[in-house]
Amino acid sequence: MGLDRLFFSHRLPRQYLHVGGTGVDVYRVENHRSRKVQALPVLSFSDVDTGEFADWCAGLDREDSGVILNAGYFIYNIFSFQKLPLRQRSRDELILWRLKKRFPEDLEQYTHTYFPMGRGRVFSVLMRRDLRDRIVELFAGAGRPLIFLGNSTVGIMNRLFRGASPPDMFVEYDAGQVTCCFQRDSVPFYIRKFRVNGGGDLAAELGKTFDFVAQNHGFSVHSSARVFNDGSGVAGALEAMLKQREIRERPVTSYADLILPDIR
Amino acid sequence: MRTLDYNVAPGRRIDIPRLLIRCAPLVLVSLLCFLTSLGILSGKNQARDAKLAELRRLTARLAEVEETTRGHDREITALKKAWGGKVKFCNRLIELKTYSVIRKLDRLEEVFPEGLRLQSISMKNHRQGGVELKIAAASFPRLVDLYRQLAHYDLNIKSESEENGVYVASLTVEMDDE
Repeated sequence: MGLDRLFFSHRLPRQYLHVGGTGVDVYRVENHRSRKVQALPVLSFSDVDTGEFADWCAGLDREDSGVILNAGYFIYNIFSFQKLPLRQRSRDELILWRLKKRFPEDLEQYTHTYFPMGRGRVFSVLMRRDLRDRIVELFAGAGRPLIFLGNSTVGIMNRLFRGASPPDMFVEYDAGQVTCCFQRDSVPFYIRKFRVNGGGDLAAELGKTFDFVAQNHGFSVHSSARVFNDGSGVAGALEAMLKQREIRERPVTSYADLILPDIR
Repeated sequence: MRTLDYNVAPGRRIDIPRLLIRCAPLVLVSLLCFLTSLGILSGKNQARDAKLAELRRLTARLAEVEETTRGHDREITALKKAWGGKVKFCNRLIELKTYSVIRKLDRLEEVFPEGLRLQSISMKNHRQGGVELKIAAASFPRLVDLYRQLAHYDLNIKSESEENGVYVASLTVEMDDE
């Protein structure tokens, strides 16, 4: 498993469409730096037909493309195990069994991906299969091969939780969609996703989450990172809440630079 | 935390240049091992070739020697054929020349004690063969004395008789020409 990851990494596109809460932005990545080149007049991929999408893509380069969806399109779980089986098949079965206990829906309708994170923790990501197929169909119709279909939260985790002293948690905010993820020794142990209406709502929900983590995981948050995509309306309330709880904020780069792969 | 590689696009592609870069050291090491093995094998082949050449040279030399030996054998055979009769005749002469009847008689004379008389003697003119003797003795002890002397020569007493105080014995002995 390690060897195939070492040798067979996937090619990354230079053109990305980020589907956020406020619309679809097109980015280009060149020399490990991102540049926003366009914003498409569409809110999501589910309410356009193939012809319309092809028209919207007319201004894009005819090359391999990638799509990054915000957290609203995914279901996240972090499972904790005493020990994970070494055999891949047994491990798959165990994680699927745990997922079915927490998420008793028809998993055939989802694509399930999981990542062992160390210390017996597994990060599980579910995405609706019909959405994925729809996006693939749209790009095929527009003549842009889709070689990357990713997730903003995973990108943020990759950027923020690696390194010598990562923040204790991060808050991802995108037009009312909030994801907060907590880590201990660079291993994420709790993730929560919710929707809010305004800054007060965000501060209240985050406060509850901090208390939950403190009570159930014995973990006090001392530092956090704010990853906002157009969150100017709620930033003040969040800052006040963090200040009240004496939580330091770590400065972060732009939202796009965190979610896009291959950025330095 | 290791990088989470999340990509659910069905059309994702292997990054060939990166694969080549990551495989390059492996390929280089494999190539180096291959070339080293080839070099070692080549060295071994050279030594083997040299030994084979030496073997071929020795085999050719052996064939030459065998041919020469066969030539000598042919010459010897021709010479034997030409000289065989003469050599046989010479050998026969040598054999006849070395055989001596006189020597047998001398030896009999040596072993004969006093007081005996040789009445008759007959022998074959051959290197091997018995000698028939008829002996007359003045007394029986003298005859016995002769028997003792001839005991070494496969003595066979055919008859003994006594007439008028004279003891007569017919006997044979085997006296090879030594």
